[in-house]
Amino acid sequence: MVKQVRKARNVRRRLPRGVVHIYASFNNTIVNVTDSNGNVVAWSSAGACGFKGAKRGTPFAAQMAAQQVVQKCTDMGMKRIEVVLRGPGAGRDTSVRALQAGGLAITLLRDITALPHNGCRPPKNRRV
Amino acid sequence: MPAPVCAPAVRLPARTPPCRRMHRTYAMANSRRVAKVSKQLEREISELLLHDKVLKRAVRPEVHMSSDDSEKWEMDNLGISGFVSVTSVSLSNDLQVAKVHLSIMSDSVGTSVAMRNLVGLQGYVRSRVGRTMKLRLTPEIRFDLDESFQRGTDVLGLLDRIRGDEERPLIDVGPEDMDDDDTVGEWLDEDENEDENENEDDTALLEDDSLWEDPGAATTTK
Repeated sequence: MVKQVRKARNVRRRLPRGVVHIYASFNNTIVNVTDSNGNVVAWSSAGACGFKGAKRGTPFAAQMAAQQVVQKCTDMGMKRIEVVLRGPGAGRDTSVRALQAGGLAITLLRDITALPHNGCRPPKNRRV
Repeated sequence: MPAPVCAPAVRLPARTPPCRRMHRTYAMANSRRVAKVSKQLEREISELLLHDKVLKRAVRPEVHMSSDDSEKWEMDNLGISGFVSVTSVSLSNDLQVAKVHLSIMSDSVGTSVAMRNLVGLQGYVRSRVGRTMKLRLTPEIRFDLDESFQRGTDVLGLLDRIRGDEERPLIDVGPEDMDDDDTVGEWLDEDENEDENENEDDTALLEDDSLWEDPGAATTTK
């Protein structure tokens, strides 16, 4: 018997507000857009924008990733966003500025970088 | 007054001319090493700005001004009034002076307060960096405000205006969007000619002149 394969319909969501999670590490910047429940609806990163190697960790690459995300958000009809930052990278500030410049209204800006209460032993110091 | 003659770091051969012996000799590091050290400095200072209590208090002094614990908790969890990130570090070739370019996201008052406090803590940052990084001499840290991204954004906006493009306005958040419910509407692409349907709606709106008339304006008659 031939198995019937159901084609996935092209579902587009309309989301007036969402949460943008910016993970800015030293080597890359990843921007995720989720709804209020945490389900990812769009994403981009410096590597996804075409940057390779050390250039992914630059503030300019983070700006380009945020601009791509802004484009996807406006396609979904998103107007208000909450921004959640994580990580110590150079792309923290520039990605937020790019989201603002793209026309999205930022209602909340929060930093959720993990802070150990003297927990796990950190890796050894790099020798330069 | 002749330039001071310092003992060269490297013993020069006997046949070296006197004019060369008069020059000061610096211990220059390899350019690759300078890049490595500056990158490591950037990481260390970024970590300090995130985790160090003294630096966090310098950037956000209002958090520690309230004496009431509940008020402090509320201020901590409302969001941040300003935050700092390191955009780049420029290190001199002799690894003695490091210019740390900071980007501060806050209003003008918050930026000036944070910058003033951080400049006063340059020595503290140098001592903290010296404990983690094993260098012969820890470079002198100098903080510098980096406004290049803001200037770049302003210039791009001006260029767009000159070209005649409409400045992208901030999306108006009307009262209908202030609901607490997260209404998520979904629609499915049922039609293959979906684009034609969309265009029909847009042209109908454009052709409706009543939408573009200003009821308050005086009508001119010929």
